Amino acid sequence: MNLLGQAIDWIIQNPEEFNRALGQHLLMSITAIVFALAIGLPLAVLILRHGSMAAAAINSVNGLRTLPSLAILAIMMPILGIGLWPSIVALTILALPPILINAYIGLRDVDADVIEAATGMGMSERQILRKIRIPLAAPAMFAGLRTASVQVLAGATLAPFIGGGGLGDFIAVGIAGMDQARLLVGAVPIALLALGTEFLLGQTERLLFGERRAA
Amino acid sequence: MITMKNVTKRFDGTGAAAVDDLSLDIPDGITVALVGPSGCGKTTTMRMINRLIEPTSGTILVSGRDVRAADAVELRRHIGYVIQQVGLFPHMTIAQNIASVPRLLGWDAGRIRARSSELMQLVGLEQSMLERYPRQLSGGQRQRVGVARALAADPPVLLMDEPFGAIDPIARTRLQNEFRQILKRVKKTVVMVTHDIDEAVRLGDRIAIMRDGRIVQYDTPETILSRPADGFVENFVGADRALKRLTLFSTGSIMTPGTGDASLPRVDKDGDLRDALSAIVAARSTAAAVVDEEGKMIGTITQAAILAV
Repeated sequence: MNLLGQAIDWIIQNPEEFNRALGQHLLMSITAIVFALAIGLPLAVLILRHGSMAAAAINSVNGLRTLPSLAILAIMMPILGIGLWPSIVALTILALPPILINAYIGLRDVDADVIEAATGMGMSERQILRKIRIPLAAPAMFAGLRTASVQVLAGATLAPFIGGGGLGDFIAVGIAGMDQARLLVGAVPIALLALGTEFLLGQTERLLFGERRAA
Repeated sequence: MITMKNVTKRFDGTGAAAVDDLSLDIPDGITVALVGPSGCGKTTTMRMINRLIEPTSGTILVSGRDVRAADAVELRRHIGYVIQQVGLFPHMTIAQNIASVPRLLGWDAGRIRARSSELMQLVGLEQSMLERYPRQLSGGQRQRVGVARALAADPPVLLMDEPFGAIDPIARTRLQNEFRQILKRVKKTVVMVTHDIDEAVRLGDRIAIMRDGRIVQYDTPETILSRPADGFVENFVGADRALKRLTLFSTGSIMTPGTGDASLPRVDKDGDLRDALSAIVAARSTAAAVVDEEGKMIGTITQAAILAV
């Protein structure tokens, strides 16, 4: 029997263990994305208003981006210990750069003529943000969400190193026990999750913003 | 009525004033073209009216009220604003674009719909375009929407910043003539900024020629072209100013009514005298036959009559 068949067999025989790992994986990833959105989007608006903060914020976030996911997880361990929460914090840091940078650039690069017209017709700063900048930056924000989601779903694979659980557990066990079939029990679903999310969010993006591109 | 009294604008860190002790009275219902070379302060002057730029000193009154008495955002809702690149909101339909200011002012949906439909007719666009997005329109159509949007809440004053600058030359002349008609019909007080003297002559009831933050001459196109105040104005309006002046008169207003001579070159009664003279010169004639819309000869215009204007 081939390795993939063995992996599927294992899943069929151990549904509870598999489902728990899958659940943890999704919980970690989704929570991290929600946190990253909750921090990144308001932060983008804030640095848009205070130009001097923008460079500092973007640079520090870009600095974070150069850290490998494993390094982020390793840094979290002495600070937050082990378990689910440190993994979520680490994944939030991983998700933050694409969300913040996309949102900021989207908000900033709205056509200057459009802003001039909106100001000239009597929209307040707040109205320009709500009615003009945010809707026009929405596609960029969504693209940031898409990148972050794929990164987080894949990055969560490393959570077992700090006791976070998730599908990465199977990979860790598989490597430790030289059991390639077990490794695939983790690896294949993670790959499918990442690809599926990329595809679904891509389709959603087209559905939401496609009409604007149509000439 | 717009009144500017001793208005000066000095931008931070620059020595010379962008607008230097400028005073200007604009009566109700006329179109004034602020014209001059780049850097003359024309755009700054216009943008101080709706407080996109705050003057360093001086007073600006719109309909008798000091613009600085009101909140700037509130003030702008009562002053129409049209810019060169139009600045339509790309994520909104034409209907939503036009509804922008009425919505800010809290109009109900029915009133907005009726007004939008009326405006589309005014600017010569199909009602079906209301549901389209700006991207789906040509440059000229977008500029029409830009004007409709600026007129939406029926503001008494309209500011236009190089409104035809982004439109190709052939469509531009036609659009300028149409806008002239529209502006006459809506009876707005219009302040328009342009660097193009021909545009100023075509659209302005008055022209203010600016240089180095000051108004050099403020007069009717006719006077500007026939009696430029100084060498700068003379130079600015161009060596062909006498010919430009002829564009201010229609052939029909100067012709001698009659049946006309079939051998003469033909000119349209709604055309201007410059075109009529050109037709006469081209045919090496001394006169032209004037025809109406149906091509029927309704009079004669002579070279001497044109030169006597």
